[in-house]
Amino acid sequence: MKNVGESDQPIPLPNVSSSVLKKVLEYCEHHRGEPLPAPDADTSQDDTRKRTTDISEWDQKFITVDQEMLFEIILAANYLDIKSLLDVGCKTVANMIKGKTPEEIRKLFNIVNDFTPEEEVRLLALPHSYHQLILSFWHHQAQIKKENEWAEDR
Amino acid sequence: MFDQLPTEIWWGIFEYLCLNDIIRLSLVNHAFLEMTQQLLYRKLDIVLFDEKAKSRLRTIRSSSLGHHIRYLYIRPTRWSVSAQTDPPRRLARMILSSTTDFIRAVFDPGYVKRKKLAFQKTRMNEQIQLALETMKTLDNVPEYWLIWQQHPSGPFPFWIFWPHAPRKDVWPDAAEATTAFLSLLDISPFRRTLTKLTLRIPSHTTECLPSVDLPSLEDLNVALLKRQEFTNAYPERLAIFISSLSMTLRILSLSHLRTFPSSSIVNFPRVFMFSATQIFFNSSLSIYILCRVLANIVSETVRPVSTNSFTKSVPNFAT
Repeated sequence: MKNVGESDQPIPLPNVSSSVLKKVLEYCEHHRGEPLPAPDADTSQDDTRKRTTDISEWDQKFITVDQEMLFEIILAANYLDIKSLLDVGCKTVANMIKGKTPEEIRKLFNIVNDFTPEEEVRLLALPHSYHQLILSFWHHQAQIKKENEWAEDR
Repeated sequence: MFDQLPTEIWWGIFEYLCLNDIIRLSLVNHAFLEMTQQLLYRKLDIVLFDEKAKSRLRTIRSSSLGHHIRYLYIRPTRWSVSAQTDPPRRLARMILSSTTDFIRAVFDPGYVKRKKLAFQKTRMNEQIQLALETMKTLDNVPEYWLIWQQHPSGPFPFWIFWPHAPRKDVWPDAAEATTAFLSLLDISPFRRTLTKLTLRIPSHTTECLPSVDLPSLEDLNVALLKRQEFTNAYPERLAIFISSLSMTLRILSLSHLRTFPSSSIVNFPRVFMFSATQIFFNSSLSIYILCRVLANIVSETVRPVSTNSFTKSVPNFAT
């Protein structure tokens, strides 16, 4: 907002409710003065798997809200482009999902299982090849990267 | 409640999950299955044609997952025909399957070699067929790479001092595969959605290029690899191809061309980025295109130019 300067004009935020905005402002107030993350600091997608889901103590306390509020905070952070808050929200949801079975995830998010029994059988038969498929993707990825570097050197 | 979040945010969440978690998530319901598959099948690369690649292609075809694929990367030279990777004993059993084979192998010293080649050729044709049939089901692929690789010729110190020496093809039959995959541009439904095309191919495989119609191609990156039997027919074909794209093309990059016929000079009203490396010119084409580029840049000065499109040739798989 620094570039825009002070203004008395109201800024419309149609997608953010007042209670969520209050939460977001609380977060921003606490993290005021912290350096912004570099734009491409952790976007290299090769090591995304190694990303940690650790959240600082204050953030942990801050994000301990009900699910609806959590999703709304994530949406607001996305809409207002507050990357660190979006990351905290995503990490929290990821931590909720981690290690849970499909049935537990359904319970967690209140999701109805809309697979037919036949589809379930087919999907359960899939994982083996599915697994191999994903692993081979990563294997090739590293190889292609190496060869691209080689090709660019030429 | 989970459908409150858009797909992009879910993808951001998936980045913090391990593979097992993502696979378990895909079993939750149709919406999660769709989201995880969109992520997992975004890129299809065929570098080594082994059992894994085969099962991947079969899965894509049988479960009709082709509509998720956005990037296609093929390097036919690195395809190891399965026969080459089979253990020698198994291979011998496959090639010399009957007593007559053994007797012929004893009396005819070249028999085993010929049989092996014929066997590999059949295998290769089967592999190409499977890959082509799968790729014909892809309908929305904005980016396509077809990369041919060559070995440096001669022993180690030799090619350092003479880098432009004629290269040895890794696998002579790969020309056939390259032609087949180039023909995808002509027959597959995804040619309508193609916006970025990268070709690094030997010049003699370009026969089908002139007839190709790519209505939305914006970024073309061509490297024709040198061959000893290089004639003017190859650049002529490429020139026809490029001139047919002149109305949509925005970025053009050419390299390793020996000549470029001046008869093909056409208007490029939208090109704003042009790069040429190792071109042996006998025409004024490059100067002409550069003038056009300058004129286009002057006329649309504020358009951001991304130089990354050249340095980053393959997008990373997003999971």
